[in-house]
Amino acid sequence: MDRKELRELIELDTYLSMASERDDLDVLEVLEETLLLLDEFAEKLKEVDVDLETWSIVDEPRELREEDEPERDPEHKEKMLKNAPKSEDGYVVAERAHWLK
Amino acid sequence: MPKVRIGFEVHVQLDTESKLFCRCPTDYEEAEPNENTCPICTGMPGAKPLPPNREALLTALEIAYMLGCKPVIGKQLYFQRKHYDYPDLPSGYQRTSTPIAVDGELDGVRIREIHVEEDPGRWDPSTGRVDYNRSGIPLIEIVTEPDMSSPEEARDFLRRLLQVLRYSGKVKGDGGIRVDANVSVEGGARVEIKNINSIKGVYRALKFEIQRQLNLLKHGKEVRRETRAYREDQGTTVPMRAKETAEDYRYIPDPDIPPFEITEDMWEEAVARAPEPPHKRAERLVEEYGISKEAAEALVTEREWADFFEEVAQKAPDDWEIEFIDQWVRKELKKILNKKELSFREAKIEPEDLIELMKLVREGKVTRQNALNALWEAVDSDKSPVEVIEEEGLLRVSDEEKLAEVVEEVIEENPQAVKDYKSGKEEAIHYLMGQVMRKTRGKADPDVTMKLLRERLGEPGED
Repeated sequence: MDRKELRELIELDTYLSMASERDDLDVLEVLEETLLLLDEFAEKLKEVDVDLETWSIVDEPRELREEDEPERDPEHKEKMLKNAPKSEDGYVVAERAHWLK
Repeated sequence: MPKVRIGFEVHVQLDTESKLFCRCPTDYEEAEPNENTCPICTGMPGAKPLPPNREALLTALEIAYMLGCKPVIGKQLYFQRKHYDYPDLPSGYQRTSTPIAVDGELDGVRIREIHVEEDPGRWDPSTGRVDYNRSGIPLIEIVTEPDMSSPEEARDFLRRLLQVLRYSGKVKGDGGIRVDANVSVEGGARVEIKNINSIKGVYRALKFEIQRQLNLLKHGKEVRRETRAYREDQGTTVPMRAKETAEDYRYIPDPDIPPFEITEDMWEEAVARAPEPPHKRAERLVEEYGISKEAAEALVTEREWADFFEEVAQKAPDDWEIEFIDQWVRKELKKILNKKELSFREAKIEPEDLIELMKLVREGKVTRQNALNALWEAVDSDKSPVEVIEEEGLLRVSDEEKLAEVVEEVIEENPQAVKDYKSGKEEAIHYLMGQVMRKTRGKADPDVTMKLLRERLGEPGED
């Protein structure tokens, strides 16, 4: 659908809905003015200098990670064990498999 | 007997330095519990994974190449979240890639696809203790078609697969495996046996499971589609749960990990790095060196052994027979290493050292026995066999004058043996020969010694 067709459709649709509710308005005049405003606004937007970037991870797969020297997180173990409901000898203690008895 | 169909999902840890989605080290066997952990591999809220470890992908591609698989090139691949709850899985899901390679073949068994995934932690069900050091270590998952029809066939396939994996040099430790086996008997449903961690275990589990299914069918009962666990202590399988389907795991692409691609370059890099697969190498060894199939099959069981053989064969003088090289590399040296429980990787011997030793044997400068003794000493020491020979003075004595003196001494010291020989007991000369060898600590040239003894004593029964 081109712009002209769209305009015609909007005009007709809007005219019909407005005309049915407001007999006192010159609907076509209002509509004409509205479309004019929209056109002006669209023209103004063209002047705004914004470089819109669109990026999608699907369009541009990210590089894989080259393996470098492994690193230990020196604080993590302590933090994790502190937050664990139960721990012993450096292990987090979860449920025991009682069915194995 | 109804037709049996067996297929596998085989999981093996890849030997990378760091984990799949974080920089934690992978040496969990040596580390204190939970030492190799961070917010990422313990699934802490808000912790985002790093991009996938390229080395893990590349290593998996190497193995894929060795298994004759085709890479999935130029397609967006994803890590998916496979959801299930277990104490060793802190995030509540395991990340597993979509297939990175497909359509391989090994020993007539089709390889359907290969994935890379992360290992969960370790939970000890009897104590409830959890160690997350293993969590996030990259695994390769090899999925076969159900092309095996007996436990024996399945065992042979796994042995060959393990050989390929070890041969790659890129799997952790001794290439320990975790196998999920699926087995169905004609007329019954497919049953999966989870987490068997030895070839022997797989064999026993399959033997039991096939018999169990046959018995059910024989008595007109239904074989249910289910997942069973292998009880190693009993050699049996027990029900775990009704078989789950892909939907049960609620697979979704991990939104924290962008899709990735395997490029042509990456595949070429993997192919260039991959060693020649052992079964292909065995064929080439037969063709190129003219050794027997049996010899080639034996050599390729250990990559370093086959490397050693080829290096000796290439560096040895051109006029050496391949049988001579085969004898020393495949039989003598291997026998010594086996007795000392050493692998070729652990042995402290270079191909050049063995060639030097073999030269001395060929030139008759050292007896075979002394060469073997020197080799025994050298394989786990910092000395070469030739250095051992020199230090211990094991070079053969073939100087007739020196040997004649020893022969004379032996004749004087053993009058009974001399008498026996002269009265016709020919075997007595071997006793005298042994005495010469004892006095020279095995260094006497046997041919020269025998010649001297015969000259001195004449023919047996001459007196």
